[in-house]
Amino acid sequence: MIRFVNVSKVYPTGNKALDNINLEIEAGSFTFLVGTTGSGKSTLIKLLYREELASSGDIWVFGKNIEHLSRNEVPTLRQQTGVVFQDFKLLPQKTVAENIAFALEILGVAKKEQEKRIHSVLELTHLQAMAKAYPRELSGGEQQRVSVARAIVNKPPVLLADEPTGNLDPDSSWEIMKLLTKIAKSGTTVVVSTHNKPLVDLLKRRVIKLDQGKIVEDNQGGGYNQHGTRR
Amino acid sequence: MALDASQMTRQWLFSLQQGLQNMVRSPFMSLVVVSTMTVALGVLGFLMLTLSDLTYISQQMSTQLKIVVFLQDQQTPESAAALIEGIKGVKAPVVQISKEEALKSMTEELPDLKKLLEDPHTHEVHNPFPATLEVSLYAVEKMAEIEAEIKKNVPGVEGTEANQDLAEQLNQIQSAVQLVGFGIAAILFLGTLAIVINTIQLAVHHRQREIEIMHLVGAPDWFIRLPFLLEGLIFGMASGLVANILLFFWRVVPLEQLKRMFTFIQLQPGLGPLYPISALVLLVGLLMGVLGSSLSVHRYIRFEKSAEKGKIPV
Ligand SMILES: Nc1ncnc2c1ncn2[C@@H]1O[C@H](COP(=O)(O)OP(=O)(O)OP(=O)(O)O)[C@@H](O)[C@H]1O
Ligand SMILES: [Mg+2]
Repeated sequence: MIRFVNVSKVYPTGNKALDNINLEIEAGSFTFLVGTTGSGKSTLIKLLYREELASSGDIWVFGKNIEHLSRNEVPTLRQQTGVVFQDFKLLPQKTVAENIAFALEILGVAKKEQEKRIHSVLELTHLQAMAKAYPRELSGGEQQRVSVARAIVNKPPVLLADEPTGNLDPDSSWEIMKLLTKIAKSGTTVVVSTHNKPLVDLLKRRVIKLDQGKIVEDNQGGGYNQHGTRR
Repeated sequence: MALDASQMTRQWLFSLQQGLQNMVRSPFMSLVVVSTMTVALGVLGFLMLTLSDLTYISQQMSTQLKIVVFLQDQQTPESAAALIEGIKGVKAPVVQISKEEALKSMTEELPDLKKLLEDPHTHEVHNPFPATLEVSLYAVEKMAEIEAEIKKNVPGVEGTEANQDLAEQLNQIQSAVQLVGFGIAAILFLGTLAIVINTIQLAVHHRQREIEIMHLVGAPDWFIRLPFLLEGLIFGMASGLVANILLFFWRVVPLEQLKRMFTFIQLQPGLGPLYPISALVLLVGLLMGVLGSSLSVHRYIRFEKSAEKGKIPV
C-alpha cells in the first residue's frame, strides 16, 4: 500500500510542483493520474521511486517511509518498483531478451532462473518471437512492451508508468493499457500517468486528477472532467 | 533480499563482462582514450629516460675531471699520494706518474725531444719533467677546496692544475637539466591527467543512457562503477604497455644509432634505467586509468543524484 502524508515538493528553482498531497493507494489496485501539463504527475511518480525527495511530508510504501531511506537503500526500493516511461529507455545494443535480463543481472539471478522468468514475461507481453531482435527492429508499441516486461520481470510489488502511451498510436496504446491492467490483476500495484482521456474513460479505474500540484478530483469509478486537459 | 556468495559472483561477472563489452562496442572511444594516454605516458617516460641519461653523461664527464699535482724532485710520489688519499673527498687510488714515466711518455710522443735533452758529451739524459699525481674526486664541486688543501698540507708540491670552471659549468648544467626536466614532467603529467579525465568522461557520457537505466532498475553504485573501473584499468594497462614498447624501441634502436653518430653521447650500460622507468610508466598508467574513470563516474553519479539537494531539512 502507498500513502502520501502532507507531501509537498518545491524544486530548487522555486517551482512548487506538489502542494500538500494526501493520498492512499491500495495494494494491487490500478490508478490513473491525470491533469494538465505541469500539474505534477511526473513529480508524484518520481517521488515514488526516489528520483526526487519530497520537500516536506512522508511517503509510505509497504510500511516503509521512503523519505528516510539511506543512499544504500534506494537501489533496493528501485528493485521493488518497476518503472515505464514514454521514451522506453531500452539499450539499443542489447537484444529484447538482454534488455529484460538486465534487471535480473544486477541482482545476480542465476541464468536458469533468468531464462524461466524472461520466458514468462515474454509470453505475457506477446514478445516470444522477438526475443533476439534489437530495439531498432521493433515498432514503438513493441518497444514499450519490452520496457514493461523489463519492469515486471523481477516481480516488483509496485509498477509506475509515466505517460507510457505518449509516443504510441491508438491501437498500441490500447494494448499497453490492457497489459498494465492485466498486471494489476495479478496483484501488482500499478500507477499510470496519462493524457489519454478516451482510454481512461474506457477502462473505468480510479482516476486522480492533479491541478497545480493539488488533487482536485479522485474518482474511484473512472472518468474525469475533461476541462483543461490536452486531449 | 540477502546476497549469497554465488549471487555476488554472478553480479561481479556480469559487471566485468559489461565493461569488456562496452570497450569492444565503442572501439573508437577506446582508441581515443588509449592513444591519449599512450602519448602522455610515452612523453613522460621519454623525459625520464632522457633526464637519466643526461645526468649520467654529465656525471661521466665530471669524473674525468682531475686535479693534476706536480711534485718537486725531492718529494716521492708514493708518500705524496698517501697523504692526498687521506684527504676527504678524494677518490683513491691517486694515479702516480714518476719522473721517468713522464719522460718516457713524452719522448715516445716526440722522438726528437730525446736528442735535445741528451748531454752531447756524457750522453746522459736530463729529465725536466716533474713527477705528477692525478687526483680523482667524489664530488667535483669540492675541487677548489681540495686543491687548496693539497697545496697547503702536502709538502713538496710544485704546483697544481685543475679545470675548475668546466667542473662548475657541468655541475650547473646538471642541476638545470634536472630542474627543467622535472618541471616539464610535472606540468605534463597534470595536463595529461586532465585530458585523460576529460576523455574518459566523454566515454562515460557516451553511456549516460546505460547509467540512467542501471539506476532505474536499482543497480547499486558499486555495480555501476565497476565496469568503468575495469575499463580504466585496462586502458591504463594497454597505454602503459604500448608506451613501454615505444620506449624500449627508442632506446634500443634510434638512440644506439645516435650514440654511434655522436660520440659525446654516453649511455648507461645495458638497458640502463629502462626497467624502473617502464615500471613507473605502467604504474602511472594504471593510476591514471583508475583515477580518471572513477572521478568521471563519480561526477556523473553525483550529477544524477543532484535532485536530492532539493530536500529541505525538517
Ligand atoms: N527538475 C525540475 N526542476 C524544476 N522544476 C521542475 C522540475 N521538474 C518539474 N518541474 C516543474 O514542476 C511542475 C510539475 O512538473 P511535472 O513534470 O511533474 O508535470 P507533469 O504533470 O508531469 O506535466 P506533463 O504532463 O507535461 O508531463 C512544473 O511546473 C515543472 O515546470
Ligand atoms: Mg510528466
